[in-house]
Amino acid sequence: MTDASLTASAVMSHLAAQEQAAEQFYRGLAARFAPQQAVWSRCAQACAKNQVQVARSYQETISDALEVGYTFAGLTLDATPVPCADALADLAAAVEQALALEERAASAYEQVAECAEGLLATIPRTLRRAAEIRRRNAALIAAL
Amino acid sequence: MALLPNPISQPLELQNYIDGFWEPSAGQMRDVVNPATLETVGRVPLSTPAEFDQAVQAAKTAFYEWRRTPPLARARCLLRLRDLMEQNFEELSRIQTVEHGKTIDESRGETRRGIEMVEVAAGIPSLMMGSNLEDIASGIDEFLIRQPLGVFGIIGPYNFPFMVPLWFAPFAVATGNTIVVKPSSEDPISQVKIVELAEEAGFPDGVWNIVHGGRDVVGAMLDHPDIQGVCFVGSTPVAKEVIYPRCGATGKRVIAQGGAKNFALVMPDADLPRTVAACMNSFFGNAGQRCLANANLVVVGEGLTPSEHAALYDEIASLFVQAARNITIGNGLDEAVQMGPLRDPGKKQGVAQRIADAVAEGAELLLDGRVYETPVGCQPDAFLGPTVLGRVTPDMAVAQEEVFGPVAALMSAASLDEAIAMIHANPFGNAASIFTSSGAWARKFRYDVECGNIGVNIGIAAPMAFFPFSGMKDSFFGDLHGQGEDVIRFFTESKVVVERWF
Repeated sequence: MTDASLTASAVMSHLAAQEQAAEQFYRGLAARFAPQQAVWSRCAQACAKNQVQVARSYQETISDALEVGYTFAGLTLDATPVPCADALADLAAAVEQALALEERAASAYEQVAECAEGLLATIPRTLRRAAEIRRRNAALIAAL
Repeated sequence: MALLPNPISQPLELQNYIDGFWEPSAGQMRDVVNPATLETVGRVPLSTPAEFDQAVQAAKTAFYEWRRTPPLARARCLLRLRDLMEQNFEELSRIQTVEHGKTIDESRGETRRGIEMVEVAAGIPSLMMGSNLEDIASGIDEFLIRQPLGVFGIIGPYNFPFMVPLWFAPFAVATGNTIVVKPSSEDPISQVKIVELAEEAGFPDGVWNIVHGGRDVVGAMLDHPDIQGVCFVGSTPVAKEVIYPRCGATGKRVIAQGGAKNFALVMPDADLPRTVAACMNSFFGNAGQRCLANANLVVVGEGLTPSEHAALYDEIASLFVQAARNITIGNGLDEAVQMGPLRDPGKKQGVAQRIADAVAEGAELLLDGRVYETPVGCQPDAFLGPTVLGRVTPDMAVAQEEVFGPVAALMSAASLDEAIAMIHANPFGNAASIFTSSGAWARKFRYDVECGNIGVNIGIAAPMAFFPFSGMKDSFFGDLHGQGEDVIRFFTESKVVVERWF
């Protein structure tokens, strides 16, 4: 998704949808690769938690006075589809895809956080925290 | 982007909510129309004075028990209402967009602000607490007790159909009063949803009533002997010439908030990109239909030579027009849309006429919102794009009168004193903002300006629920304001007890 004037709600909806898809992806991997189930489930939990935290911090800071109509001019959001767990050949392919997914997600959060500096500090702080959580996912996956 | 699902699948037949039951009205029905699509989304009754009286009698009866309900128990009802509002956050927001036309972001912001009122009012055991002093004379103690008064009337405006009645309603019931709300007949659905949730939250029958209607209901409210006070938000002529004097004549308490013509001063040391970004929301948010919207942007040349001042004006005008041109108009259910239509085609025509008049008076038309492409899937009748008028002078009508639409007037003042004098020459006193990096200029502005709500590097100086929503001059009629400590005092009588025991 690229647009010269992405609204805050459009960006937040996009991030939420990406987290939801990633959570499903990891739940699928947990079902397929039982020996690594703990790691995949932990990643799925992290995605679910991010989804709630980002939505909550947005909803709790949005107001008619401060942030309504805020636009992320020049922002480009990666719309690469989240892979399907069932379509992956083996564990190595799963790890490779998961690492790429985590990198895209963390980068997206960092990019949006940078663009969100004009918003109340709660928003960029939450977005950076979400990026941090996705990088932790990546570290867990890389250790498999 | 795709539209979010519309929560109103077929037109709603609205009824009054009186004494815990939904009652059909004998009055005429009026269509509630989504201004983006011109689809009818509901039909609202114009109730009769007799129906209003029925609601007042129910509220009066309920008051006896409700004022005896412990404040903590009343707070629990508010806390349950708050939870239900959170659970229904998205539906409540989308309803506002459909019935009013504002963008979904604006509606979510409005929902959040409304919920904050309920949250703050739930602190009533502390907020309503009185005070005492022992030994005011030897062996004599004195107490201040805050007591509710009875039934209050609340009249909502069309521009914030969800939030504005909540500036008053949660505080009124938290303090032990009972209420009759008359929502705007243009967009009454949000208030119906709130009452549905209030019913689910466990407010006793008769505590929170709704009577839909127009002038007849307002008249009945102003003259009713059992209404203790009225909260009104709307236009200045109605606030000043109808609500305020008639409440005075009938001995009612009154909060009457009127219109505005708000100034934003841009000083030479302002952070221009962030100032212009804040101004986009301030001038064009809610399609300019907001009493805190800035309308006059004054480029102040304090400390600059005339040529430097002129260059600053040109730079700001260029940035402002460029940003305004990028605003996307359309159906508010599309998350990519940044500005919705005006509330109805008649209001659009009124604003368009003001633009034409301003140009005839000599204003420079830098961006003409009357020219735009009809957004996909919308009807054009109520839409107007952002309009920017340059070289506006204080004597022009567009600089003095409330337009209540997406129209920005760019002006110049050689000094901060001259800019403040412009503000003071205006009859309104709702809000004013200054954009600067100088603490000294900001302090002078904050100290001197005769407006109720002051923004320093803030485009819309909207007070939070725990501060009063202030206002001065022709923007406010009354003594105590809505929200915060003021509204607790408004809804309570101060009773003093002087006590000695023999």
